[in-house]
Amino acid sequence: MQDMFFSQLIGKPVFTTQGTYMGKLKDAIATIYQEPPIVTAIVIASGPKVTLVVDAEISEIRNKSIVLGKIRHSPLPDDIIYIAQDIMDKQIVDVNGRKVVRVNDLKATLINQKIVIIGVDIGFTGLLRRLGIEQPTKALCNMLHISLSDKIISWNNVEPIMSEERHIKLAVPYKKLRQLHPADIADIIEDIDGNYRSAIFNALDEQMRADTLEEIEPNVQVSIIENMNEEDASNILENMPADEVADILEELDEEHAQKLLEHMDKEDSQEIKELMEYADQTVGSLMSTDFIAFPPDITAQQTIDELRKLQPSPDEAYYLYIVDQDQRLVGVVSLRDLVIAPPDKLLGDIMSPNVIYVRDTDSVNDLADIVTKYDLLAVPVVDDDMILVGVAIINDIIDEVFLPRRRRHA
Amino acid sequence: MNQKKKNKSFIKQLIIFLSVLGPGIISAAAGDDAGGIATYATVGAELQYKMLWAIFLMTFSLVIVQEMAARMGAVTGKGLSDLIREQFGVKSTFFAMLTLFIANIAVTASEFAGIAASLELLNISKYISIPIMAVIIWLLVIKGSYKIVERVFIGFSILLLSYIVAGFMAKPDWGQVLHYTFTPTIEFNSRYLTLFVGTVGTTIAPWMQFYLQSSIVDKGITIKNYSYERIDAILGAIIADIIAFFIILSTASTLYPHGITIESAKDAALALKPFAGDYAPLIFGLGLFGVSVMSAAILPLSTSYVICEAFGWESGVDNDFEDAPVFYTLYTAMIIIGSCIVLFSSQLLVHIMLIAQVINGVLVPVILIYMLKLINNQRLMGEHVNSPLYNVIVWITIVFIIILTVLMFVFMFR
Repeated sequence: MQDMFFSQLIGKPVFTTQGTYMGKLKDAIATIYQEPPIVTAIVIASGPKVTLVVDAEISEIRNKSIVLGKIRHSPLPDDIIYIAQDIMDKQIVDVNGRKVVRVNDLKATLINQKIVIIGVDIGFTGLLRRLGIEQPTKALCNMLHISLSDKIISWNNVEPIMSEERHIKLAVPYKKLRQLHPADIADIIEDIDGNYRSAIFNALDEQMRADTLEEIEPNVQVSIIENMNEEDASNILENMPADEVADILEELDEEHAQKLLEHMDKEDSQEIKELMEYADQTVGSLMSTDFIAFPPDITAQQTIDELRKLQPSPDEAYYLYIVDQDQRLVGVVSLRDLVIAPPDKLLGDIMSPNVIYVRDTDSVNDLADIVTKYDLLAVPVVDDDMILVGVAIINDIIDEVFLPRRRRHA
Repeated sequence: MNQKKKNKSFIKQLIIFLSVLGPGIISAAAGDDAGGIATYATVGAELQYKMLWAIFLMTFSLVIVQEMAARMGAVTGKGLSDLIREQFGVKSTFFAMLTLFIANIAVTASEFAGIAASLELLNISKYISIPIMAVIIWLLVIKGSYKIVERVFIGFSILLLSYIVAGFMAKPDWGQVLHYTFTPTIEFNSRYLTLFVGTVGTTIAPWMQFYLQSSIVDKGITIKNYSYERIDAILGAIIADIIAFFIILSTASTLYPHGITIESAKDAALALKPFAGDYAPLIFGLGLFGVSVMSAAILPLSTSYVICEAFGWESGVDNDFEDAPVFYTLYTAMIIIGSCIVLFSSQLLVHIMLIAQVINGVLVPVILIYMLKLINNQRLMGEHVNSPLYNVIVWITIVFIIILTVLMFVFMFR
C-alpha cells in the first residue's frame, strides 16, 4: 500500500509495462456509487491528443512516473465522476462537521493495483502543496517551531455535491447527507453555491424536504421555492405547518403565491390565507393552527384513547384545550393532569378554568412577556369572541423574538 | 384590514423592486468613489474635454463587463472567485487573488484619502480624521449595522448628481463638447497616458465585478429572474459614466479656463460653484465623504469575503473570530494598511487617489481575461455564453488597456 496525493499524480508521465510513453495523466474516473471511489479509468493527454484508458492496472507509481500493468479495455461504466474535474477545488459536504468545505487536494492509495480515493484534504498544507511550496514552507515552520498539520477528512465522512442530472441514476443520492438532522441539512444548503441547493434539496424525500425547508433562512427558502415547479412546491408546503407556509408565501410575489395556493387542497389553503392576513409582529402571524381541543364532557380515558388515535406531534401535545360547543375556550388540561386523573373523570372536572391566553391581534412582544412570566410551553390564541383559533408554541416564539435575525455577510 | 393589506403589498413591491434593482446601481455608485472624483476632476481641469471620447467608449465596455459579471452570477450561482478557483485551480486563484488584493489595498487607501480630503475642508487634519474614521468603519462592519449605513451613504452619493446640474450651468461650449465626445484624440506624453490609465482603472475597477457578482449570488437571483438584474447592471454602468462625464465637463468648464489644477478637495469643489455658489464646498464635501466612507467599508469587506471564498476559509461577519480568523485578519489588515498609506505618505491626498486608480488600470486586464475565459466556458454557462460581439468588445478593451499601460511606462521612464 502506498499513500499519495492526487495533485501529485496529475501531470505525471504514464508508461506501459514495456516502457512506451503514453502521455501525461490528466484526470481519473471513478464510479459514483463505489465507496470509497476506486479509479476505473484514466485520462491521458499527449499534446493535443487525449486518450481514455479504461480498466487498466496500475503496476507502480514512481516519483516521476506512473507505470501501467495489464489493460483490459472494458467499456466505460455509466455513473462516473471525473476526479480532477468534478471533485478537486469544488465544494463538498463534511458530514461529520456538518458544513460545506472546499477540496484542496485528495488523498489516494494504491490497493490491488487500483488507485483508491480515501480522503479529502481541506487544510492549509493542501493549498501550499498545490502552489508547489509545501516543503519549503514546512521547513520554515519547523525552524520557527510552528506546527503545520494536514487536515484530511476520511472519504467516509464526505458527500460530493453534483448537479442534478448526474444523480438521477443513483437509487439513493446523498445517502450520508440524509442521515443528518434537517436543521443541519438546512445550514449546508444555505452555505452551498446557488445551483447545488436544489440538487441537494430535491434529492430528499417529501417529509424531509418539508422539515428542512422549515429550517432554512427566508431568502434561501424563497429562492428554492421559486426554482421548483408549482406542483412540487405546493406538495412540500402542504407538509409544513400553516404558519411557516404563510411566512414563506408572504415573501413570494403575489401571483406566484396565489398559484401555489391553488395547487393545495381547499382546507389548507384557506387556513394559510387567513394566517397571511395577520400583520407582522402579531400573535396571529406566528401561531400554529394545528392544536388539540376537546369538549368538557368526555372522560380522561376517552381522551387518552382519542390521543392515541390522533398521534399529535410533540409540539401539539403540551396542553389539551377544552372548548364549549361554540369552540369558545373554557379550560386547559396539561398532559400530566390527564395521565394522573382517574380514567372515568370528566375533562370538565380536571381542567383548570383559569386559562392564560392571548388574542390573535396582540403583539408578539406581549406574547413573549406572558410566556416568560408564566413559564409556558404553549399559549392558546383566541379571537375577539373567545373562539380558539390557534396555539403559539414556544419554539416559534423563540425564533421570532429572542433569536436576532440571522445575518449573512455583505 | 383590506386597505392595510393593499398598502403593505405596495410597500413590499417597492422593497422587492429596490432589493432586486440594487447590486448594479450600488456597485456603480461606489465606482464613482473618491478616486473616481479625483481622477475625473483632474482630467477635466488639466485636459479640458480631451478625454470625453474615452468616457463615451468606455461606457460600452463597462456595460458589457458589468452585465457579464451579473450573468455569470445568475447562471452559476457562484461568485467570481469561486469560479476562478473551480475552473483554474489553486495557482491561478492565488495569482488572481493577489492581483485583486493589491488593487483593492490601493483603492482602500484612496477612499481614506477621500475621507481625509473631505474633512480637510473643515480644517480637520488627516492625523485626526483617518484614525478615528478607520476605527468607526471597522466597528460599523463588524457590528453588522453596515447594511443600514450603506443606504445612508448611497443617499450622500446622490449629492454627486449635482455635478450634472453644475455641468449645465457652467455653460460649456457644447459644440466643442460634442466634438471631443465623438472624436478620439490621444497625446503621447506621460501625464496624459497616466491620467488615461487612471480613468480606465477607476471606471472599470476590478473589485466592482467581484462585488456585483457576489451580490447577485447573495440575493439568490437566478437566470429565471435575471431580466430585472440585467437592466440594473446596465443602468448602473450608464449612470456611473454619465456622472463621470459631467464631473469632467464641469471641471473642464470652470477650472481649465483659469488654469486651476486639482491639488485639494477645495479646488475640486470649485467646479460646483456655478450651481451651488457658496454651498459648493459643503455639497462637495458631504458627497465625497459619503462615497468614500461607503467604499471604504464595502471594499475591505468584499475583498476579504471574496478571497476566503476562493480558498475555502470561513467568512462573513456572522462568524466569530475563532471561526473565521483569516477573514477578520484580512479585513482588519486592509483597513490598517489602507489608512496607514494615507497617514504616512507625503504625497498630496489627490495624488494618492490618482495613483491608486492607475494601479487598478494596470491590473484590470488580468481580471477581464479571467472573466472572458469563464463566461465562454460552455460547460459552465450553457447557452448563456458571450455573444461574439461582446467578446470582440471586451478583447478590444483588454488589448487597448494593455497597450496604453505599456505606452505609459515607456513614456514615464524615457
